[in-house]
Amino acid sequence: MLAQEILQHYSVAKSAQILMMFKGGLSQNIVVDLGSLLQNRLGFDVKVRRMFGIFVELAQNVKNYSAETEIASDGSEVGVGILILADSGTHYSVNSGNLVLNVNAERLKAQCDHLQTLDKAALKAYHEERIESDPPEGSKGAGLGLIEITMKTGGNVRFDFAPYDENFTFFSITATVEK
Amino acid sequence: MESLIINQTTQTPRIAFDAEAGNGEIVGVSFPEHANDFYACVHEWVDQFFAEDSTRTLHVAFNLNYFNTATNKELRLLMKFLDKHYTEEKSVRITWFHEEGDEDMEDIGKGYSVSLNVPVSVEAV
Repeated sequence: MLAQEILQHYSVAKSAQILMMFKGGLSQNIVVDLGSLLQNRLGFDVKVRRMFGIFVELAQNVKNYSAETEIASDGSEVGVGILILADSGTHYSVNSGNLVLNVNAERLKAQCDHLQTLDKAALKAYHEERIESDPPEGSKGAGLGLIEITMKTGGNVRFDFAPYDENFTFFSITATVEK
Repeated sequence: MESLIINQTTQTPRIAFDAEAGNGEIVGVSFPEHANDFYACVHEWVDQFFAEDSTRTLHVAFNLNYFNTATNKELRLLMKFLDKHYTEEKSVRITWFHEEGDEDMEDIGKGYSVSLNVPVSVEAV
């Protein structure tokens, strides 16, 4: 790439106050390495830990549920997506993006919309209900990630969808937490 | 009975259960890829501990400063498992340590101290 192209990337990263950006396949080892990178850069005090918790949840979400996958160096099939951590001065903005199948997008959107209608007490009750039950069909984790992200941000989370092509929709999560 | 020792890694906590001393601790951070597999050994160890001598006392200390949602679920299962032993007349007590000022961790510990029968002491460090 020529300097002009690199400068464009640099300028975007600078103006968006990006601390870290990763695009690619998220194996567990990559998630752990990115987490170490964040800790080396920011320390691990209680506010960083809250952000870190959201970051890991978003990363494992992409790893487990992205419709775009690749084979990691350890031979496992992992989800591909993008993770962006930005620092606005007063807040951390933790973002993820990945493809989902169009046929699954409606159900995911309904789930996200539902989460956004819940107040603190209702979220807690919903979390309690889900942690006590078996993971939902097709879930590779505890099926609690989106609920805990919504709780940890005090509702400062936005789920969004953009058209991608005839098969896929681009799904993003933007979570904001105080520094 | 052998002790259960798993060294801490960047993604998993130190696990150390000592049968002689009758205590166990889980210390550090936890976001393994398969949380249920990781914590299965603790269930097995505790079952064996009380199978060998049901009159023994077990004190389990949790001292975690970060864990992911899948671990949260496994900790819930482990807590309920310890609670089951307690309600079956075993001598069990739990201490939940949290960093001073870490309200999220404090709240989780307090939730356990309210919802379980087994004594759960919540302490700031």
